[in-house]
Amino acid sequence: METSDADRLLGATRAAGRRTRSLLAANSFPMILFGLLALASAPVAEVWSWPATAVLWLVGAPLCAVATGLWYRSRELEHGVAANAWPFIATAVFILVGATALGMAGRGGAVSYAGPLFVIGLGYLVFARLERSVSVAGLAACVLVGAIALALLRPSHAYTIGVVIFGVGSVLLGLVSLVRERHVDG
Amino acid sequence: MAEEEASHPAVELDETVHQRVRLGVLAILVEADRANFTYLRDTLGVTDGNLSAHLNVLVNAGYVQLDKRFVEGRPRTWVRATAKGRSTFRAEVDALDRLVTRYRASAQP
Repeated sequence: METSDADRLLGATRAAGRRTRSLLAANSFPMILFGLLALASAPVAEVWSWPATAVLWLVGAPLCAVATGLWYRSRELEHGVAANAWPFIATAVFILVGATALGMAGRGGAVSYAGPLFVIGLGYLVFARLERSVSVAGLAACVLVGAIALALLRPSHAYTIGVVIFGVGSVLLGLVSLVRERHVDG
Repeated sequence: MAEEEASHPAVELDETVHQRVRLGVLAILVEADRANFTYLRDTLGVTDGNLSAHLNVLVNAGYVQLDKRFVEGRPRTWVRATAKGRSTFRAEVDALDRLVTRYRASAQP
């Protein structure tokens, strides 16, 4: 085999792999959806009560998770290519169960807002590894640092500060991802 | 001399995998869990018959598995790489990389 042939073959092979990886790295829908859910919970926590916020998450998070699964399924049917869903499902279950458990165990104290945020940060680190996404890893790091800072400093309106950090970051990353997806899908 | 010949990366190229379409199929399936026939055909820019022939070669070598099922009432063929296919693909890309690196190093003045 000629070396120039090998070079061309490697280039074409990597291009096919890159295109597939780009299609599979789509995450705009869950990023925007969960970001909006987090942002929606801020006024609920400020205006109403801690139990109302807990109910919002207990109802909203599973619904958003199901909607996310359906969105990925529709992409699979549309494009004809799919990632292994099980690591993503396991991570989502870890986040839902872990955040719910800590949120309820904290009874409105520091653990109830910093704990779920920490679990979300850990979960997003796993998502970042699975998607090989530097931007998701960056968001996960911000959320983890925010959770630790909130637990240590315990400022007033700590819950709102935490969910705004996560919500705004998630929505912004989702919008960036949406632009990239339109370019790749186009 | 004989030792140098044996260690040449070209010796490690896999006859089954180093064909362009077959290498492309594995490149896609290493990134994804599964891809359907249409996606592979369109991404690699080949005809139905051409892709079918190459998939048969890969199936017979144990590098991919075909899964035929109905989706929304229409037949769809999904393709997955086996563990053997994934490791063979990585070895092939390593060998190609070393071949190119070796050539570039020897071509420098």
